[in-house]
Amino acid sequence: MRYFNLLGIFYRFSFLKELEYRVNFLTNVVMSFFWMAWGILSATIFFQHRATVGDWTYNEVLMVIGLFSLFTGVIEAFFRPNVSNIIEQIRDGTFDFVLIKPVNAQFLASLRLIVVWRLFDIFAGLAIIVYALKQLSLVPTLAQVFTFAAMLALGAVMVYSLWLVMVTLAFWFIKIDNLAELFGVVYDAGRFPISVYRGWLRALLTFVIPIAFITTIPAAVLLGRLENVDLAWGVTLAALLFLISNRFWNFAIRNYSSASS
Amino acid sequence: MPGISRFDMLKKYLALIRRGLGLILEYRVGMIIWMLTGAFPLIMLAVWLSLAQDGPIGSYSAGDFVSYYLLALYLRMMTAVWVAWELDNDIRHGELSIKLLHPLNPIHEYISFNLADKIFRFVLTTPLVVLVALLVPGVHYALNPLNLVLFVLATAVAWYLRYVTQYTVGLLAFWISQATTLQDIIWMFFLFLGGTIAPLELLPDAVRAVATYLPFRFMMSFPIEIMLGRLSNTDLLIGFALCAGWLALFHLISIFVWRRGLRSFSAYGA
Amino acid sequence: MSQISVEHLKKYYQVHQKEPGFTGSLKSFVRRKYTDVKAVDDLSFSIVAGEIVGFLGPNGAGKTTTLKVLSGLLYPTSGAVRVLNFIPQERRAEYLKQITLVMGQKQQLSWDLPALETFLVNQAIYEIPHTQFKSTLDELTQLLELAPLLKKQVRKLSLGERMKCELAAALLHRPKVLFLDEPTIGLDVTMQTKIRQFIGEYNRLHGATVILTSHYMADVTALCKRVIVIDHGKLLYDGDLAALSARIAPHKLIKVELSSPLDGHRLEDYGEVIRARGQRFDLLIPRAQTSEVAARMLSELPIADVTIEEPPIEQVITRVFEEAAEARRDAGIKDDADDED
Repeated sequence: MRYFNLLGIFYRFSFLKELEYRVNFLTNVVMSFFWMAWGILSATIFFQHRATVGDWTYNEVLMVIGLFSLFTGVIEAFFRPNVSNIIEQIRDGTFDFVLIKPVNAQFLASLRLIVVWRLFDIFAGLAIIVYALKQLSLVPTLAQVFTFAAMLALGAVMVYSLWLVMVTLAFWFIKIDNLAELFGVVYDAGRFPISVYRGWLRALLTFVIPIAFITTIPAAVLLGRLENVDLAWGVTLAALLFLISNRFWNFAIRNYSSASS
Repeated sequence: MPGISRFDMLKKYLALIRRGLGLILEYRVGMIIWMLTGAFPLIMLAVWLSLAQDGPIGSYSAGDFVSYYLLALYLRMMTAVWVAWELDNDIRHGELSIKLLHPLNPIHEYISFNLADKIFRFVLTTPLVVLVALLVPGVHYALNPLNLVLFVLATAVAWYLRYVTQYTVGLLAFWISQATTLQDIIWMFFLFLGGTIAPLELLPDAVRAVATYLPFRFMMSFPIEIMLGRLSNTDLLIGFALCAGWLALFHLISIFVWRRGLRSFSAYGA
Repeated sequence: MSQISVEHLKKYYQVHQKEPGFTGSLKSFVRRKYTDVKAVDDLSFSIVAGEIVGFLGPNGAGKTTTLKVLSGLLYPTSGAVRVLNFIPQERRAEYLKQITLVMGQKQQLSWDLPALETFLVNQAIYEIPHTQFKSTLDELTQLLELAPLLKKQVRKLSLGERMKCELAAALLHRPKVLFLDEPTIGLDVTMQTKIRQFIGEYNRLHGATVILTSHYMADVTALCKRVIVIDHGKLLYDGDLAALSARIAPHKLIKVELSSPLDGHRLEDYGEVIRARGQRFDLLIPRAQTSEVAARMLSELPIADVTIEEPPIEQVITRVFEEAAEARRDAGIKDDADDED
C-alpha cells in the first residue's frame, strides 16, 4: 500500500517535470502516430505478395501490431526514462542518493519516472486492436478479456525484468548508454507473429527473450488461438525472469558497494 | 581550404582517425553493441523467408533474399551515421563553440571519427560476411572485378549521402530544438524507400517507380543491386549519374546551411 | 557512549590501468591490468552523540570513502563499523531514516522543478508525518532563509541558494547523524559563513552528530573542536584542534604595530621576523616564551597595538602532511597517491 502511495507521488512529480517541456508533448504524440502508421504500412507490403504471414491474416497481424504499439507505450512511458536516469546517476555518482533512501532501491530506481505522453501509444495500440477485432467480426468473451489482461500483465513483468537486467549491466559497463537499444532490436521482432520465425530463433523469442508473450500470445488469446500450455508457461517464465532480474540487481548493488570507492 | 595543402590535410585526418580508433577501442563494448543494434534487416529477412517457403516472390527466391539481406546488413554497418545527434548535442550544449576554436572545420573531426568507426567495423564484419556468404547455401553474387569496384564506389557514395544529409539535418539544431526528430522521420522514409523493409522490386509499382530515382535508394539498395547483378549497363550509368547529382546537390545544401547556421550561431553567441 | 565507532576499517578497491596512446588502448583491449588502491587503510576512531568532527586530509586521503562507508553506501573490505548501533552496510530503513549525507558536488534536487516538489517526494520516502514535515520545513525555512527559494525552479537558483535547498532536503527527516562532504565547496565567503552558521545552529538545536569534510579551514575552525586528520587512508591525528596546533607548531605569532620608528632596539632580538610592512611586523616566538616576550616588547618598544595568535591552521595542517610524507619516505614507502573522488 505504501508503495502504491509512493508511486502516486513519483508519477505526480514526473508529470510536473514533463510539463516543463511542452514541445515534447507534440513531438512524442506525432512520432508515435508516425511510427504506428509506418508499422501498418510496412506490414501491408508483405500482404501484397501473400494472403497470410506466418499463417496469420492481415487483420490478425494488425492485432499483433496493436499489441506492439501498446507495449512500446509501456516501455517508453514506464521503463526507458528510468533506465536512462539510472545510467546517468551511476555515471555522475548521484546514484548514492538512491541507495541512501529508506525505500527498496530497486523500486525507487526502476519505477520513479514516467513519460506521460507515451501513454498515447498504449491507447493507440488498444484502438488498433479494437479495429482489428471489428474487421474480423470477433467479440471476445469475458473469459478471453480476462486472460488477455492477465497476459498483458505477465508481458509487462517480463519486459520489466529484461530491462532491469540491462540497467543492471550498467553497473559494470558505465560507458554503455546504448545497451537499452539492443533490446529494441530484438523487440522489433515482435512486430510479426512468432510463427514467422523458425528454428532456434523462434525458441529464443519464446523462451529466452519472450517477445512471443508480449505480442503474439495476447493476440492469440483474443483470436481464440491460445492453448493452456502457453498460459502456464507464461506465468512460470514471468516469475522466473522477475526472480532472476531481482537477484542480479541485488548482486550488482552489493558489488557496487564493495568494488567502488 | 585555402592555405592548407592536401598533404597537411591528410596528415590531420590520419591523426584524427588514429585518435578516433583509440577512443573506439576504449569504448569497444559500447561500439560493438551499437553495431548489433543495426540488426533490424535480419527480422525482415526472417519474414521474407517465411513467405518464400511457398516459392519465389517476384524474382526473389529464398536464396536471393539471404543474399540481399546479408549485404543489406553489411551496408547498414558500413554506412552507419549518427552525426545529426552529435551536432544537435554539440550545438545545444555549446560544445560546438569549443570545436570552432580549432583551426579546422569541425566537420573533419566528426567525419574522421566516423571513418575510424568504419575501419573498426570493416575489420570486424567483413570476414563474417564473407564466411556467411561462403557457408550458407543459396547465397550468390555477381562477382567480377568491375562489379566489386562499382560496389565499393556505390557503398562510399551511400555512406557520404547518408552522412551529408544527416549533417545538414543536424545543423538545423541552430534554429530548431527538434532536429533529431526530423532525422527520425527521414529514417522512416529511408527504411521504406531505401530497400530495408523490402527489396525495391517488391514495393507496389507506383512506389517503386518513384523510389528508383529518390536518394534513399542510393543510400542502401543501389550497391546491393550491383552485387546481385540485377542492373543493366544502362541502369548502372543512370544510377551513377543520379548518385553524382544527389551528391552534388546535398553537398552544396550542406555548405549553404553550415554558413547560414554559423552566422546565426555567432549572432546569438551561444 | 559512542554513537559512531570505527575499528580497523579498511577499504581497498581495484582500478584498471591503461597506458596512454593507441598501442596502450590496444593492449588494454586484449588484457586489462588491475591494481589495488587502498582508499582507507586501518582507520579507527569513535565519536559521541552531539559532537561536530572535522575530517581533514588532502584529495584522495580517503575522507569521502570513509563517509560513504559510514552512511552504508560502501561495504568495508575489513574492520568493524557501527553507527547508532546499526551496521551501516545493511542499509536498514530504520538506520537510513536517522542519517543523512550531503555531497557538495552532487545534487539530489530535480533540476527542472522547484525544490519544494523534491521535499514532498522525500516526505513520502521518509514517511514523515504531515505535522512534523510542516514544522521541520518551517524551521529550516527560517534558519536558511528559504522562503523566496522554495517555489523557484532549481535551475534558476544560484549555487549557494541551491546548496541551502540541498541541505534542507537532506534534513527534512531530522536525522541524528549528518555526514557532510564538502558542503561549502564553490560557494562565496558570505554564503560559506551562512551555511557554516546553520550547521552549528542545527547541531545546537537538535544535538545532532556531525562529521564534516571541507577544503576551507575556516569551516573547520568555526565548527569543530575536534579534528580527525587522515592521509593515504591512515590516521595522522585525532583530537583537539588547538592541541594539534600546539604539537605541530612550536611557535606562536605576535603581530605588533609600532607608533614610532625603532631607536636602537632590533626586533630580531625578540624573535624571528617573518613579515614586515611599514610599521607592522609579524614575529614567530617559541610557544613557552610568548607571554614573557610580549611583556618585554610592551615595556621596551613604542607599541601601538599587539596581538598574539596561533599560526594559520592551513600551515599547521600542511605541516602535518609534510611530516607524514617524510615519515613515509623514511620508511621507504613509495608515494602512490591516487586521486579519489
